[in-house]
Amino acid sequence: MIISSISMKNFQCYSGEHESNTLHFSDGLNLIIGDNGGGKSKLYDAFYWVIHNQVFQSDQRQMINTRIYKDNLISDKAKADCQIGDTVSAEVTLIVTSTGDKKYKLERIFKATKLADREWEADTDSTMLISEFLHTKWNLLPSAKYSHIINRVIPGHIKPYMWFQGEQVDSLMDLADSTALSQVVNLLSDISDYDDLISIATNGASRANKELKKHKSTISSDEAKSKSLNTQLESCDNNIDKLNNQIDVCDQQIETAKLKVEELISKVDDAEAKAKYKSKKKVLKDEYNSLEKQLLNANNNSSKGLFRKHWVLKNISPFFKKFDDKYKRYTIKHNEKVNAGKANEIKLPLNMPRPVHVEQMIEDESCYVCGRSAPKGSEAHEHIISLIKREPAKDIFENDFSNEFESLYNNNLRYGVAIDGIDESIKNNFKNIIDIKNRLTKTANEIKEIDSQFDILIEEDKSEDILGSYKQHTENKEKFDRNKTKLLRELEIALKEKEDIQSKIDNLVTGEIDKVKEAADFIFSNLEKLAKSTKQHVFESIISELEEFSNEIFKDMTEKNASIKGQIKFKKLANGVYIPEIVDSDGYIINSPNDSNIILVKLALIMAILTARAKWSDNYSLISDAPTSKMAENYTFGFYKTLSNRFKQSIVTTYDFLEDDRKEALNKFNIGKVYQIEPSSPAGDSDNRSDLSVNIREVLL
Amino acid sequence: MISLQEKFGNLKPGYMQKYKDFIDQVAQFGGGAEGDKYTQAKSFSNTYELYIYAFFIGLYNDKRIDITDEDKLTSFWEMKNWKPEELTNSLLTCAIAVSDFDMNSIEEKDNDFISKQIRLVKSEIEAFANGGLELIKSEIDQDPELLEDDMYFIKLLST
Amino acid sequence: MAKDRNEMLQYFLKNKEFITILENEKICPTSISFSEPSTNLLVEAMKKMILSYCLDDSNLQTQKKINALISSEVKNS
Repeated sequence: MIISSISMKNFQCYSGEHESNTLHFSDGLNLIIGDNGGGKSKLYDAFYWVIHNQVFQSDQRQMINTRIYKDNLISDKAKADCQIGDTVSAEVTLIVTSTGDKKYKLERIFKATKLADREWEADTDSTMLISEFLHTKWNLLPSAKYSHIINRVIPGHIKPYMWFQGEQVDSLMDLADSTALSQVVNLLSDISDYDDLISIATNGASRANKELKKHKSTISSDEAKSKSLNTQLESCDNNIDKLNNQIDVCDQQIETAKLKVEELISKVDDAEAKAKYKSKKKVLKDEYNSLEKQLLNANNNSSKGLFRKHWVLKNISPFFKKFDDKYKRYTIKHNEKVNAGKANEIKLPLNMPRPVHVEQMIEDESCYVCGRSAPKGSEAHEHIISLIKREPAKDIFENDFSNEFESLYNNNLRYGVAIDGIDESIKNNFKNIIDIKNRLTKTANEIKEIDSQFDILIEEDKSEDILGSYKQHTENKEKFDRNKTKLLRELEIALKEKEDIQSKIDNLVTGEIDKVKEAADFIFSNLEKLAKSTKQHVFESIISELEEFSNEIFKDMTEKNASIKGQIKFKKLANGVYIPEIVDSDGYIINSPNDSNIILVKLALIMAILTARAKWSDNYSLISDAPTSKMAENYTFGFYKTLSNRFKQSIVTTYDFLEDDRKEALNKFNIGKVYQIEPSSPAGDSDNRSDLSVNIREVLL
Repeated sequence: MISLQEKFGNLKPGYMQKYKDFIDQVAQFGGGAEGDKYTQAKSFSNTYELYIYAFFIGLYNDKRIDITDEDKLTSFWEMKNWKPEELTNSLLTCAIAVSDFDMNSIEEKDNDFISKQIRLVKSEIEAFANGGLELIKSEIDQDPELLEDDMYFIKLLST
Repeated sequence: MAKDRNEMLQYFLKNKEFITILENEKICPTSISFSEPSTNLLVEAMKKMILSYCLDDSNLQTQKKINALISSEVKNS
């Protein structure tokens, strides 16, 4: 719903009747311009009070309820003018219009009766009334409908992003809070549905797995042993869960320490040296990582080489020779037996030379072994023909293993050439590994050198805290890293143990496993995995959509300002959560002491949230008290322009455009109504609050 | 028909109990992803890889341990599952070459005789493999740092 | 927000892990819809889970429906 007007009666500094304290609003950017102390925040209070029955108490910097704030809500002037025994009230009326052109009036009233000069008998709480305009008059609605109407003015879950004070922006989007973006994603989407699916699949998987285990126990050859193994498996699972949780915690600690280190680096004075350090270190780190990978590969390859490149056969030659000799002796004896008693003695084994070659010799009428010619009809020719016509010897041997021995012999022959190259191959491999190792050492030293230069940079920095904290956080990070490595090792052992127990259980199973139970276990465990990864996928796509939107808005807002070159990047941390950062074109965080950058980013994010998926910017009014209060002046133009272009209606109080010559700029926006407000004390004493009212003047552009 | 290949393939040579811990330390039990091998600081992806390696080390250094019945060896996979197959065959030829395995006689005698001859080859494989394991283990026992060197097992081939 | 089963199905089908499983089974993700029955049990179980959830069935009901599907498919195969 869109807000059509607000009017106040004796509400804080807005003394007097509704008629003199009314502001009308239309679509577009509605501005209420006023100096400090001019009543801007009290106007924001009026909006807030109607809906939430709370006002902002500046002393305590928090929202407090009518029940506590009591007659402080009532204008001092009205209270001063009130006679003892009379009753005075503070009232705020909001008129809102729905998209279907229905009009509702929301009124909040708080009454107090004057008992003595400073003594009041006030209502315990305010009263809320909501009416609907039908035909010609306002009709009071039953109170049961109130919450529904209020929710249409501003739903509770988007209120923090839609109604806010300038000074709240900082806390609204705590960039260091790793859960902030997750909360936004929950708000923006139906991602919680996937949590439900995960829960269905996880429960199903756990049941199916239990069923299968039980079933396997019943068909086990040793039921008692299976049972005890299952108990072991359970405790192993618990241990794995525990370790995974500890690793998660560790990841978070590492990320926190990393952020702190980054933050401290950005606090060092010498920005140029710092930037140089960072980029140089990044290059070296990348190189180091790539070398490490190369070394890992080379090591992997060399252990594979033992078998795939047959290095293990390095000294085999004499033994191959020994086998050759034995084989030769065997063949002679074997063939002697085959040929015994045959007149035309052929000592070559069967199919040797290969029949294909023999056929060619016959065709060519020449012997390929001795090179002599063997013309058709000659004895030599007949001899060659007899080579193929041979039949295997029958019943000479109990078993004829000649083919198998021959194949072993051939196997070794095939290795022959490769064995000669083994020494060279090993040498090259060593050379390569030594080379990578040397480069690794060199790069590591360079990184060390840069780090020590950076330490000097920090030591020279003015503040001692930075040095101390930097060292502390760096040490912490290293400690957490070590801890994580230890946990990962323990996890690996636990997983292996689980696998062992599982295979022992499976080995005990006799008979056929129930196919339905087996399928259920498989299907549910896969559904669990898929539901989890799909949720992650949905989350990531919303995040990237949000990042894109934020950057679009950020670009719009900073269009007129060449000094801002950064962009918003949602950085994914190791523990899976995202944090928003502003980074430069090289991807380095710009954590400038200049607050306006951060405020702009946060506002861009908020606007992205409101304009993304659900298009809240189309359906609700953005109300903000002095949103540009912490923003450098030259950014405000971009902010208002974006606001006026992207939100159907916004109502903003501000001290920008206070001077008449600046109001000209307002014509460049999609502007709604503009008011100027200023305090008025007719008796001339501006400190006298019982003489205070607010002058509201519409500015016509 | 009797197949020697089948008979050799069904052999399950074993190692002595005292090498079990060492084998666990350097070889992945029952395989696993090749990529995990290095990160787990295991030099061999399978027990049989280490066993083949140990056999050749024993062979090259003429280090053999004659196994007796009391040794109660732990066996693992049948040889037909060892890979690469060509390498397993080369190992067989070496064991045949250095053993009293009689290639001619087995063609004439009965199954019992063949089985005895096959056992001769198996004994030879076990003698050299366990000899190799002993050699490697005692070297590492003296200087555990050796395993830190990724190239250790390759270097050992040259000594 | 209303539970949109088609949108949910599309998100599952864009999930890389699922795409890999489908590739191994030689199933084209675009061929999967609520109107076309699949021969793959996992695909059918996933569809059943989304359908039942979007019908506001309780978690237990949804599990039961999936179990019934698995049981009948395995027995028929």
